[in-house]
Amino acid sequence: MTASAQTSASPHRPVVRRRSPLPLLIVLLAVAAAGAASIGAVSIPFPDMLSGNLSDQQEAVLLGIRLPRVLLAVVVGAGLAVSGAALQGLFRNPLADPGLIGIASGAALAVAMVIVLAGPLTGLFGLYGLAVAAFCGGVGTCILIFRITRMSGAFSVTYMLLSGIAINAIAMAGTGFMTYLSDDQQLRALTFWTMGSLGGALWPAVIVVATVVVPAILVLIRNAGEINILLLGEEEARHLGVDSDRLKLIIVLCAAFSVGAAVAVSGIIGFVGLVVPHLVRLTIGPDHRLLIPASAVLGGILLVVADTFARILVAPAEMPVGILTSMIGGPFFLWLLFKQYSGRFGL
Amino acid sequence: MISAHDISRRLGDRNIPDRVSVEIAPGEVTAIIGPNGAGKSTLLKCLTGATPVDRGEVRLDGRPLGEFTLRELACRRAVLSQGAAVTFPFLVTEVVAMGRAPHGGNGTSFADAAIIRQALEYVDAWHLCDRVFPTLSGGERQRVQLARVLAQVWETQGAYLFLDEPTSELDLKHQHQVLQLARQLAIEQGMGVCVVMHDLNLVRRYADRAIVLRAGACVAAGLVADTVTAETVAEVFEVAPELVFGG
Repeated sequence: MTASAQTSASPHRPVVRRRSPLPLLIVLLAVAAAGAASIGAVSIPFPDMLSGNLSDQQEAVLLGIRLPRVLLAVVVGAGLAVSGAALQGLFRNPLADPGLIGIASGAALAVAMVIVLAGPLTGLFGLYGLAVAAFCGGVGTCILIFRITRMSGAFSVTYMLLSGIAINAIAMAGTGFMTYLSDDQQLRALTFWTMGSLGGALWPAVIVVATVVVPAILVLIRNAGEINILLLGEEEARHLGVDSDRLKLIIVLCAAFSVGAAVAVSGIIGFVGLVVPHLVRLTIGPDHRLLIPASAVLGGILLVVADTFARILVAPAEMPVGILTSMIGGPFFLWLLFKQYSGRFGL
Repeated sequence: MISAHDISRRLGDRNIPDRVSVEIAPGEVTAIIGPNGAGKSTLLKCLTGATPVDRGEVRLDGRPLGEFTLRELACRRAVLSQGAAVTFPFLVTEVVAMGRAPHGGNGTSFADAAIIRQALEYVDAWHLCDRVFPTLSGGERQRVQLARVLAQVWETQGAYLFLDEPTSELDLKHQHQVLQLARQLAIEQGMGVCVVMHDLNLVRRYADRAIVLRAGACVAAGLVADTVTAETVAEVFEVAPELVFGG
């Protein structure tokens, strides 16, 4: 050992620390948010927004409609993207996504049951009630998938995706049954949930989601170094001093909380959790200490932009943003599969 | 000293290991050998604390493994498991840097960088440092993982190193290099090295002691010269001794 220590005493290249993309992403998020807030049926030019030179109508639209909607898009996008990143770490598999593997539909089923069976719930309390239901559905589904996937010994993509198909089908059947039982008003609410939309954005929704998603993201960032090590394998992580059982529980809870809160206010918005961490990984690598915060911001950007398009593409009507993200995310997923098939990147 | 006293672990209707008592001494290379399914890896897992035992006890310097925190253990012993797969595109240096985690480093300090470089040089893999781990060949991955494990106990005097078939995917040159390295660590740093391996010729060349397992039970333990004998080869491995010891 000593001999080698002398030969390589010349300056060592430290481990490459990739540059943080966060400042750039935050600027982009601010631009996207400002753009989204100014575009719509009532145009609110950005300079006027800054100078406060707004008509009463513009001010009402900005504070009562646009702002909560943009903020909700940011928080929901961040929550979905981060839970995608965390689940991919948990399953040690870049194809995990809360929508694909059924966590979102499990959460949606729980929400549907609450809507149809428990009657109308409104206000802050009702929203938290739905969030809790969605959270329970999400956690339950996540644990179920985790168990099934581990039954095959190692974590296999095949088992994860196949059990996702089965769970999605079961949850869909359950949601369908709830739809069958529902009355007109409930039916409207259910349709909204299954398609995924930020149309119901009001301040209470923003508050509910933010109080759940923000702490979950912070907890995940705190544990990001250990999530990296978990990628070596559960046993290896334990050998390196990481309590992998505790860590897995933290990941499942944070991911399910975020997805649950997001589903409760905006329904199923698919593929954000798949696409965003992937884009981040392609540019700055898989280090979760950067990946998780960067995914949060990029998720926010993506959903703000997607939601703005959803609002203006078919104006004056509005299309559910979930349809839009799936239209982009579906082909992206196929591309990933294709890339995996051609043997690159060791997915 | 890592000592296991009369340990058993229930596996279906059998015990693997089955009432085994062994010691891994500092400054020595101990090989665990035996036919497929004899319980070599399981014994290794019991000795590292990865698998709980149903009977008996494993102690590190007289203290039961269960009394250590995961982190304390991680600072005292490193384990190279079989087939540890990394599917995410980490760089080679990032993988090795994870070995420094128990010491509170994230691999970016000057001291850690030096250790990472030396560990990679030791396993003849420094030239791979900028490569993406999942794109490496099997043997290259094995060497990088070994470097990670080495980085974990690099400056620790009297640490323990557990290697589960560290040479399974290596070419001849690197097989010898890795085991030579294990010997060197034992002699120079007083490490206790425990290796699961198949090649009895390598065992005879590089190990000080051997633990011979058959169906979970320890049939011989002691100096290699006393344990890897013509009788053991014939009886335990069911191979003609001249295939191992030459004509």
